[in-house]
Amino acid sequence: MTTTTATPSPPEILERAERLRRGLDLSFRDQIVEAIYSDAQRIASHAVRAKRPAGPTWDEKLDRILTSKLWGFPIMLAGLALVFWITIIGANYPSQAIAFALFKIEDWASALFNSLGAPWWLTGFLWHGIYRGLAWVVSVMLPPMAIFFPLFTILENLGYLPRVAFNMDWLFKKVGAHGKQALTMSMGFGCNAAGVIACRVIDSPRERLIAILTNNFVPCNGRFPTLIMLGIVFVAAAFPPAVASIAAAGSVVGVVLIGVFFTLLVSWTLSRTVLKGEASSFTLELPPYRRPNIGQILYTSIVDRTLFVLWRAVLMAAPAGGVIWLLSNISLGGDSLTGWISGFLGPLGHAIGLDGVILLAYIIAIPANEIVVPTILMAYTGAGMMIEIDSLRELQQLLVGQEGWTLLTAVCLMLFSLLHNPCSTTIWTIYKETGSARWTTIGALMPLAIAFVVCFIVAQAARLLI
Amino acid sequence: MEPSLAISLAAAAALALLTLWPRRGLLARWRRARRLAERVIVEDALKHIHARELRGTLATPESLAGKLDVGVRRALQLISDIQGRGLIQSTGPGLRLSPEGRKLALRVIRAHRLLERYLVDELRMPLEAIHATADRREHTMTVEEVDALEAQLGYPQQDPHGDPIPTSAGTLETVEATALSDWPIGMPAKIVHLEDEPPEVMTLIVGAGLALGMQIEVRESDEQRLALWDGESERELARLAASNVFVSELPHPVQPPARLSSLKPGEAGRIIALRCEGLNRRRLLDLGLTPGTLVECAFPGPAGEPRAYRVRGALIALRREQGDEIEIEPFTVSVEGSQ
Amino acid sequence: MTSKRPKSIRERKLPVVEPVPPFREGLRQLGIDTTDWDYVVALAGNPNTGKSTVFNALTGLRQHVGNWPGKTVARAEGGFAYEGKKYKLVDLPGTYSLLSASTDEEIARNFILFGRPDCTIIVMDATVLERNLNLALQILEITDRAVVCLNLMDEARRKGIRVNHKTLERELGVPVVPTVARTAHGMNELVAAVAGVASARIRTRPHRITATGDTARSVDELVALIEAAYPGLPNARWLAMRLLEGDKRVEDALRLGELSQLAVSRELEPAEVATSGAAAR
Repeated sequence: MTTTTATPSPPEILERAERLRRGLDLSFRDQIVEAIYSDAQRIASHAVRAKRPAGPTWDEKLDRILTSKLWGFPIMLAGLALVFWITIIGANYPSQAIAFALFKIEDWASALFNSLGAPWWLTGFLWHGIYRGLAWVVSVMLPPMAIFFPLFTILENLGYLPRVAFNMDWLFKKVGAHGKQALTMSMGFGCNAAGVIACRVIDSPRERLIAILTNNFVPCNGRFPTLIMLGIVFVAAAFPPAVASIAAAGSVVGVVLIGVFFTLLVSWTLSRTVLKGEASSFTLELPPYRRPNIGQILYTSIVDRTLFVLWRAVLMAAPAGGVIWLLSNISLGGDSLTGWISGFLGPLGHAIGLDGVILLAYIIAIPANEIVVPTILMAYTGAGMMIEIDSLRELQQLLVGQEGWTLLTAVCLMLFSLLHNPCSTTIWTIYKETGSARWTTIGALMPLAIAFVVCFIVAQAARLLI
Repeated sequence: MEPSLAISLAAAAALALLTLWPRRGLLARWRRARRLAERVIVEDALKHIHARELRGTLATPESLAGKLDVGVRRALQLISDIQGRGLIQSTGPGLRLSPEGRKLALRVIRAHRLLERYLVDELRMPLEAIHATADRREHTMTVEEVDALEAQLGYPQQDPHGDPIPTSAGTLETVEATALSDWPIGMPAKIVHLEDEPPEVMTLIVGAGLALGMQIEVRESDEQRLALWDGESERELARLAASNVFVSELPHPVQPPARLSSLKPGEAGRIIALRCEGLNRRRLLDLGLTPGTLVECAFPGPAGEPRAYRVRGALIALRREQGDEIEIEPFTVSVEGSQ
Repeated sequence: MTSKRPKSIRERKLPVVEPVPPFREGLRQLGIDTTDWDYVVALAGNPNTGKSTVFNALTGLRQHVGNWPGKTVARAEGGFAYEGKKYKLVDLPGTYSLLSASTDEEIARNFILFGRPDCTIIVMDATVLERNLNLALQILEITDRAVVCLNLMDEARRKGIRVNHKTLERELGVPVVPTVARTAHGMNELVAAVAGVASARIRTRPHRITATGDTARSVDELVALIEAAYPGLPNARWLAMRLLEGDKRVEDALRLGELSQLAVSRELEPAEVATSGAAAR
């Protein structure tokens, strides 16, 4: 010890550390890690008695199948399709029942208001505006979510998602991205904002940015109801009843696959242009499979996810319902505001296979994608037309019979819903995670541009060919 | 007249604001750009003089002018400028750095090599593209930023070409190395440095499959090319490129490179060394892939890659590239039997 | 309407209905109520060790549980009470190590070092103990107030792996409690151990990493210096290793005098620590 003072000052300590460091072998940092692991090994050998089973364990057998060349991908696709199929089958009747009940309440309440002598605009704004918006959101969203989330959470708790990332890594490697992007995409199924936050698991800043910017191409639960409704109303209707639900599930899987395709395409483009670089180091732990705890899953997925998301949608739907009612009932020169705006957006909407009302609904739904379908329906039925839509068949009649939707409209709407800009929460999350206004702008506008271009091409091609 | 006067006044005010606004105005930007340009040329000059000192042939005003792509007159002016600041010694025929100047030069080199490490490890830019980017950004970093970068990268010791990174205290290790073109035939060697300039030659070297840390032996050589043996296969390298590959002596004969990635499912190996630096190294170590660890290849992914390895009881997936960075000795007894 | 609804949704997250696992006397889950706590407890561990399940079992909260690495990205807090004392439980991001300096590791490490928790629960997966020990040993270098929660004992048994928790306890020098967090087995014992360590009733003698050769000599020399400057520091050795490595955060802490605070807190009575900590926040 060469210290002369009783209490060394911070600079003295730092200076000594610096001097000692210079005297050390350059690999001393490795030595510390190795020392930790050799202690760990010694302690484990004292405390653990493991008898290795004769044959391969259950985990190993499962891994062989779930990651095999032959079965890996088919099982992934089949699992996804099964989840959607159960959701579609299961959500159909509860949706109808809830819608029936809620719209009955609207009738009674508005009749009650009228008999009490309330002015027509109050009844209209409260019951045909705000309340109807809420009723739509609840009946369209609640049943599919209450089925989809628990199913998805089971896969998550089982430990299957890391295997998905493992299976898909080679694709991400090819496009210069990180295999853990598959994990962040899975998270995006629940909520894109959560998916963007989950991108923190990717260490390389370049690859994290790619994952953040492309997370939007995974349809979140806010957009699933749109896809599922379209799948049921248009795709399923074109098939005999026996296979209708399978066809609907297949169409949703198809949309998801298109989303994966665009994720890879955009990742590839980004890593060859603005985010140039080769794929970085990839390490992923494949955790042991765990028995899912069904009680906990039901509780978590219904309370934490379903009600949380539904509540967010309800908060957005109430004002949106009011806005739509106002737009539909304030007339200017003989036409309602809805008519004016959708008329103005009409040509643009037509060019990409949609119509003005759908674009209007997307503008109103920027805060939350969940309310797109309800907003469209409100806008169609809002202008005083008292149509009861308490079954999907009637919904189909409204859209096809009255508003002139075709299969092309449905396809373009599915594509637009998949590709268009993220909701405002996700945009804000991108800003918080990247800290850059530039990347946030790109993250918001790039998908929108892609959505317009893709829908335009599809619409024009379809019109030319058919 | 009134409105047009108001408009022109407003325009003048806006223009003045645009120009004079502190830190963001045009004037401030222009000043900053000039300061940076001056810093760039001074630091590049110091780097050149330092490189020549290391090589043993001192820099001259002419060589400096050539390197910086300026006229000799401008170079002379620059030299007297730098001399005025006490960064080079005023004696002797060639240019020599003063201690102060060497410190500054090493600081820039340190920033450059750390940046290269960052660009390769974290942004995964191709080896031949990093030099230009690092050349630009090395001049804009403060000492603290460079230190922070070093810490963030996990204290790498070499840049991606095998050049040592100067420490924050300003010491630079020298690598004892001979050009491969001067290396005797039949003597085992280890590649310790790859010269990255000119990039065309670097492309040749990378194309021949040569990498840092590789064990090689020269089998034959003629005027045109060298035949190299890496313990497993023969490689050809143009003589021109061989003078940009630097090697040092290997105490044992060339051994075939056994890498983790060469294990087939069910096979096992014991880790000898990690062939990577900085953060990549740290991450692998943190997963428990320390030298001496037994690793078993468990199963490949559907596309053959990545592969899952059993390490200390856990299942870890690695891509082929990570597997290539881990040197192993094959372990013949099956893992099942040993536990 | 809008003013009342959000509350009821939030209330649903509280265990108003009833905590699912049946608890014996002692532990009382407080959900998100973390007011007026007496002790701060950190929850650390590798990803996938059932850390979130332990968190949920202790607080009665329903934090999202998913079986993949890096799932907990934000820091969650909850509360529980035991024998008249209130505890604030802070769930740290799951990490494999504290050395690679990723964002998660930084958060976890800074909280254990500078947040001065009264106790740190280290959740370990009994089925892959060796791998989990890497993090555990690093945490024990930083803090001597720790309890190991040896989780997933049922999975280990299913796989034919037997872990002797008494041996482990002897080796690590801190209490080791075997648990099955999913069914709340061992939670009471865990809380009892946490209470003991937090109140300093249980004295711990944590394992220290055995460095060798020049590294060990340099560490020792630096430890002497640090201990002379800050007597009573619980982790002088770890700080010495970090300083040798050139850890910027620790160097800054040394310069700004944060280390002297770490030393001071050890000399106060536990009760005083808690109140002074509460006042500071």
